[in-house]
Amino acid sequence: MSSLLLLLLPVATSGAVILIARRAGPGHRGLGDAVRLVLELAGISTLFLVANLALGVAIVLATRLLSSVFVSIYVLNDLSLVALSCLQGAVFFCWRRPPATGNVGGD
Amino acid sequence: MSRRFLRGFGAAALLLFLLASFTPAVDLLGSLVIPDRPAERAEAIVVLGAGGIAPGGGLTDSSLRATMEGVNLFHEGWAPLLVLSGGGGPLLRTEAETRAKFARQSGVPPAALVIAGPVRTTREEALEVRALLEPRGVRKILLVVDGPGAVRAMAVFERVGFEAVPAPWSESVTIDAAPEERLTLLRSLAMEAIARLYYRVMGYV
Repeated sequence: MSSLLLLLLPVATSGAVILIARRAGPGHRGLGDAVRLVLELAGISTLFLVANLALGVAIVLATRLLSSVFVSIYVLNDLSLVALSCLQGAVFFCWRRPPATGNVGGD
Repeated sequence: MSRRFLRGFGAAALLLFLLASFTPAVDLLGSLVIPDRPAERAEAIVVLGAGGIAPGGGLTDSSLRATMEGVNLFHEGWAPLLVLSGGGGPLLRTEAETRAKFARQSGVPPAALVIAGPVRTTREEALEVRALLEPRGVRKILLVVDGPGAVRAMAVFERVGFEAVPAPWSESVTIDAAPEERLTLLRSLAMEAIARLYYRVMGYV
């Protein structure tokens, strides 16, 4: 039940925002386009997470094999790596997108 | 890399996230992977390292919980010996020594306590425990280990010559866990899968 509530909250607020935006009139990107962009962003972030984990495992094992220093593989079991990978994904997503036409600087 | 591939990958990742968080899929996976067996009488209870020492010098929550389970099993008479393991912390005392202090304060007689030396991995724990228990003729042990790590730990201890039985895991898997608990369990299961693969490649299990 609590899980369902957590799932319903973003659905409700998203529905409300979509209604408000539609009343405000056209001028928005299509919702389908937005979903596709978010999926692309999620894909890039997930790829970075997988790459970061693979590199982390390789570094931990190499450190163990090549030196007397012991590093636990459990250091990789940290939520901050997920957050950093999402941040990386967002930056690279923006970087690889074509530049917006018009004024970017805001003045 | 094509946009189509990235979208597909992103959709799969988001689907996995939603399935893992909001359905009992991870709970069911956990109940399949984590052994759920009643305790059996053994010759020694072995409490494996679990989280080590907190920065303040005390036991971490997971280490304290595992120690309490070991002490309870001892008081219930499941085995006459209590082996406490665990590596070094930021201070001079190891996890095993800190656990031993707690066990003595909880009424475990010093003669029944065996304190393992500083160890860093499950394999090192198995070798250290064998060195301590082999001279006493102990073969069957009751392992106190966190749920996702139980299968690998049992295999490692059996590889070095013990008959290992898992102690019941106190954090039983339920199908109505909160999404955050499910994601934590999923992370533990994923880390354990990597550890198990590494142990298999190295020939430890």
